[in-house]
Amino acid sequence: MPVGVRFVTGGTSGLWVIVPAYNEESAIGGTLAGLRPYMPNVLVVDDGSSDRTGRIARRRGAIVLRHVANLGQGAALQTGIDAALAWGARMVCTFDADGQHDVGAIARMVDMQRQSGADVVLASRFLSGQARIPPVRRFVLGLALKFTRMQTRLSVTDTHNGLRLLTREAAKRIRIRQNGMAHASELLSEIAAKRLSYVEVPSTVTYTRYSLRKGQSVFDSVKILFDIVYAAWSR
Amino acid sequence: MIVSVLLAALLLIGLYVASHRVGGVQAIVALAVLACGIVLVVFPGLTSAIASTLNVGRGTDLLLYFAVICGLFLAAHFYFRFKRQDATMTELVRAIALRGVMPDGPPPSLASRDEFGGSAAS
Repeated sequence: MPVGVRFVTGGTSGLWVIVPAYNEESAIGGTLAGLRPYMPNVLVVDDGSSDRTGRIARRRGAIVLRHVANLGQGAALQTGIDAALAWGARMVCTFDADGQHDVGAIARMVDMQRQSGADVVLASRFLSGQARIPPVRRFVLGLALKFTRMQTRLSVTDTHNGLRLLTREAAKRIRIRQNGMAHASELLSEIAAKRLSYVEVPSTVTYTRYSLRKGQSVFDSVKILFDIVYAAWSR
Repeated sequence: MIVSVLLAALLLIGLYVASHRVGGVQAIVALAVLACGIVLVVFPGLTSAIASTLNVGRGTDLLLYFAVICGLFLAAHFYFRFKRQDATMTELVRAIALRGVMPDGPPPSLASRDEFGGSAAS
């Protein structure tokens, strides 16, 4: 095992890594190449991709479920959680397809869960003092954070991090109904509403040119803000 | 001139609706709306007369208010219908994705997907 992917308190048995993916053919292969050597159970939910995302994921050793139409990341996560629970998962980890997360963080989160007994472990870019977050992104995340904190009264430090770990119990109780990006704040609302316990662990995010182009345009940031307000209003 | 154009447009809408075999209440409502439209086009002074009895100024204002109310109602109606359909579609797409995934069933066999197993290189 390379440096960084080391479990202190146990292995990966019963852990399912759920990777929602929509048209990620240029990144999914690399992401899975990083994951698969350490994670035996990787489930990619191909959210109606029109490219070769599903085929590549299968070839890289992931189990692939496919949405016949594009529903959004929230819907893909819920489908993945349903499947993982049916397959007897004891923990589920959500992991972005674009390769921005670090596999070692999963091990740290599993350890954190086992030590703390928390229902949910959230990764945070801001606990790690990561300085290299693009300014526009930082500004929007800051606004999203203030709004979500106000709404859910959770004292989280990062509301839109795709890396999370849920225990089986938490995954069963949380239900994602926001199909789009608003699921990120909805998930926090669910944690608050169902009184689940949570801890945060620091994690860095690698902003590649690809991930910046893919998910983080100024327009998308504005959309996230809109989605948060919308989710709060339509609950 | 414009009167005949408007009447022709109303009649075309009537034909369009009729060609879709609409049921009882809908047919009556559609007929009533079209009849009102024809009457108001033929007697343009009528809207102003109704408007002045309702204290809303000109007849055009009355029509504008009416149109805005109809527009808002339609927006709300289609918004909620869209949300319902969205939820239905989500259920359908998810059910198709989860075909063969049984509660407490086994995950797909590892053997078939392990050709690139632990040593997957980039």
